[in-house]
Amino acid sequence: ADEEVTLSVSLFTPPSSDLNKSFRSIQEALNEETGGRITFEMYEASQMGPAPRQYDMVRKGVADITVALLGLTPGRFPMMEMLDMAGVVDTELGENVAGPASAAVLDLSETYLSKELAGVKLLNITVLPNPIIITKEEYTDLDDLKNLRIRHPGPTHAKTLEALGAVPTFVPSTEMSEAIARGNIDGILTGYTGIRSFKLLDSAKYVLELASGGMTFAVVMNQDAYDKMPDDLKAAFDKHFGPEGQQFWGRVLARGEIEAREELVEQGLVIRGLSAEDSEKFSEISQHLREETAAELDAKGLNASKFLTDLEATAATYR
Amino acid sequence: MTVQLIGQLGMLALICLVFLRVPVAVAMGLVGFFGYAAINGFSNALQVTGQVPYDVATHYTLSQLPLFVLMGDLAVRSGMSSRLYSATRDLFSGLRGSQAYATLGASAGFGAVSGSSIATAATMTRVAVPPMKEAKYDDRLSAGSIAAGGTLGILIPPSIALVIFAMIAEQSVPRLYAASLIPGLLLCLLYILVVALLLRLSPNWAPVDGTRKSLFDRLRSLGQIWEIVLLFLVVIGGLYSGILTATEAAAVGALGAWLLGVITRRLSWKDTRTGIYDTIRTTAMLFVILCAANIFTYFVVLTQIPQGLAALVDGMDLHPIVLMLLIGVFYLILGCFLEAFGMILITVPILMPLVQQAGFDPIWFGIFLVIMIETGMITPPVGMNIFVMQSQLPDMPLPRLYQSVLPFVLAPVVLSVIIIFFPAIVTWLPTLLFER
Amino acid sequence: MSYFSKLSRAMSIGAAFFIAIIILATLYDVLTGLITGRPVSGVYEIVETCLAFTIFLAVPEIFRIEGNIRIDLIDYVVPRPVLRLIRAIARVLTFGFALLISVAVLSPFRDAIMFGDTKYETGIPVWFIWLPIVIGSAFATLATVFVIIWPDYEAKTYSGKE
Ligand code: NA
Ligand code: NA
Repeated sequence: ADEEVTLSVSLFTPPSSDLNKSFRSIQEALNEETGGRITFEMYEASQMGPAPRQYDMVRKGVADITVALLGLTPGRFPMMEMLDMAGVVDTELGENVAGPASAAVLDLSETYLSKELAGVKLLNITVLPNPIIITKEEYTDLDDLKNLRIRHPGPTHAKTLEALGAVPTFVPSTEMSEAIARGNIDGILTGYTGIRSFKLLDSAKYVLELASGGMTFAVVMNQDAYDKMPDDLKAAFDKHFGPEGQQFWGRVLARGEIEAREELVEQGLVIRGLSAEDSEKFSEISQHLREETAAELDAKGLNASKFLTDLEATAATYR
Repeated sequence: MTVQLIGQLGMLALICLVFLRVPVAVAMGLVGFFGYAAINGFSNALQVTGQVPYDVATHYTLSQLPLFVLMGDLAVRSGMSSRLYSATRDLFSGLRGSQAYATLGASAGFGAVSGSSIATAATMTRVAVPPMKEAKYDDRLSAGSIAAGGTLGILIPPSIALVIFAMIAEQSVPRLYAASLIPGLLLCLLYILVVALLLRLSPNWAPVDGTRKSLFDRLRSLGQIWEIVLLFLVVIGGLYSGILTATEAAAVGALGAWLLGVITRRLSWKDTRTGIYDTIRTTAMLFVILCAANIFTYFVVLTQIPQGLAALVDGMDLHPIVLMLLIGVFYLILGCFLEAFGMILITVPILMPLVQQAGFDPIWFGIFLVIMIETGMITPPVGMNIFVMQSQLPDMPLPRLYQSVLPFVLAPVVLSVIIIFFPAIVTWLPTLLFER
Repeated sequence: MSYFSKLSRAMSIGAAFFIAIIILATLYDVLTGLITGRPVSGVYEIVETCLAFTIFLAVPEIFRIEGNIRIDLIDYVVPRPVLRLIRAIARVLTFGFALLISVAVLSPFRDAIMFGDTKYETGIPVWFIWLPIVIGSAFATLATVFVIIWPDYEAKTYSGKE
């Protein structure tokens, strides 16, 4: 059959984002592989609906594919939210930092995540690793963060900041640079690409690196839209998404982070790490947070502790 | 039927309904809904429509709107406005139309506190209309200068429109604010020129306010407006010192206006109650329109009309200046039907690459866009600032309102052409401040 | 009808109450920040929640007094009977719009209950913020029905345009 398929792709990120570019590059590859029979109709920069709505739009079939930032919909993905926590997905350094664990998430998704992903096909997991804290003043110790008002990207990171004694504050990403320039907030927990995109270097130039987890993005597709694709196109599609595409998707954001970091250092960003003592202290704090969160979810009848243990074991097979 | 055709039919339907006196929100909402349904199915249209009220009504940045409206309202009820105008009359005494000029100056001042043009227009309506009426100004001059002055609210920082642009185009807000300052003041100046021109053509539109006063008397008259000066100092000072965010400044301003009124015994409990009731009504009315405009915008996104246009222009290989002039005309037409949020949402992702390719700076484009949005706020039939005037001046017929605002459209149009030819007007200050 | 007017006015008083909370919560945040150096978490969310209440508790009143902004150029052109017909059509369309919104918001409201969505910092359940939206748009629809049945009623009680 020569049936053609048009899939609407709704993204809250702008065309310049690595996520959007990934869809374009996959579109080019698909054009060659299928003779142009799969077309992505791109709606970018929240044109179809605001960022927190993206997931629901795909679940209900308003759009076919989206990339949902899990931190934007607290309470909706109790199990997947744990992926944001320090020490869960984000366990090493370099381009492949989130590779093994995010591949493991795909393997385990049917066992653990089918309830919170009902109606939707989880295509891929992509993680922006190791958010850092950018501040106007220079801070080097964990204790320095006490009482600072810090912008967080989601509830998991808010908990971490709270555990450190900071005051987590939500500010929309667009108002970040205004807020920090004026001193309404003292710091921002974000990634290097975030610093570059929102030109935070104009108003703040000190970064404290700490292995604070990740920001998890789920590439999801409406289940019916997937099922409706003819089998030969499904096969072509599956080469770029799902388990076969996970290698690619797992690295998309991590690679961007490394490039952005180099670029920013050249432009005068000052980066500091934690002392060995503070690192130890932070990993204790984050381990406690993981156990506490998992126990809370277990009490609600979810299988959270088991999910974390399984995740670690499965991820190990990918290393 | 192609999606483009559905889009064009939708625009036509909107115009017809609006002129058949269907409420603007109802027309935009219904056309948006059924247009969306025609392209993407009924149930999807229902889903998208259902989200909108929540998304609009829980927008933190928009919370400044009722607060600045309330601040202006209470300032009016406690008589600050009439004293402001007797003071400005003294200050500019001997000059024909001094209060129209003062309105524009005050709008620029208020624009430096408010991030919203609607809030600025609404506040200035409350503050400036009664005294101008009293001084026998032609209502075409007063309505025009207020609706136009209100647009300064989003060009002079802070600006909600620039914040939304920054989000979509990934640009720095402080940079955009720095870039918007000079064009903002320039636009105020151009509006002043429009008033001068109008008064040359029809001198009887405004009286000469009193005889010239001595310098001492003029300075002393400023003492009468200490409350407004105090209010503005606290609000602007708080904002720029970094102590207050825009919403916080708005809250302080509203409470401050109320306290000043109560302390000086000029504000009764009944005034307070009526003031709050009117504020709520104005706010709800504008939010209903914002919701409907959002629904309509999602429909226009699906029609891909802007994409088609971009592809067309891209194929013509135009000179950058000609391209920008064309884009300006496109925005002028779009601005007749869409409000700020819709114009940004629909066009930026599509036109931005085109504009950058032509060698224009993204920050420059942000300012150009905001100037075009301002134009749209005062062009019929859908112009938010006109609606603000209409909601607060129910006695003034709409045709007269349109007529009064049209000459002022000239100013932002001229400004946009100026910055196309001299982009440095926009880029000079941010470069000076931010580039090392 | 007069009961409905009273109800809709009572909702406006509710709206006023929430504006007051916006102002007080914001000021509390500013003052605490200034005094203790440790600002309060979650004020943004309280403001957003109150904004939804303020607006949608006031919306029925807008529809009751036919306060939605419209362009009445045609009033100066067409003869009276035609104008009366046009007004009636506009009122029916207004009813359609209000009904559309009040039906459309039900599904996301149900979702918010079902999925247990919450706000970031305060944990305020999202369905609670939907509450005024659902109620407000339902009463707005009711108001448009009253306006269709008794078109002249408000002309007597409301001293605005028309
Ligand atoms: Na402003
Ligand atoms: Na317009």
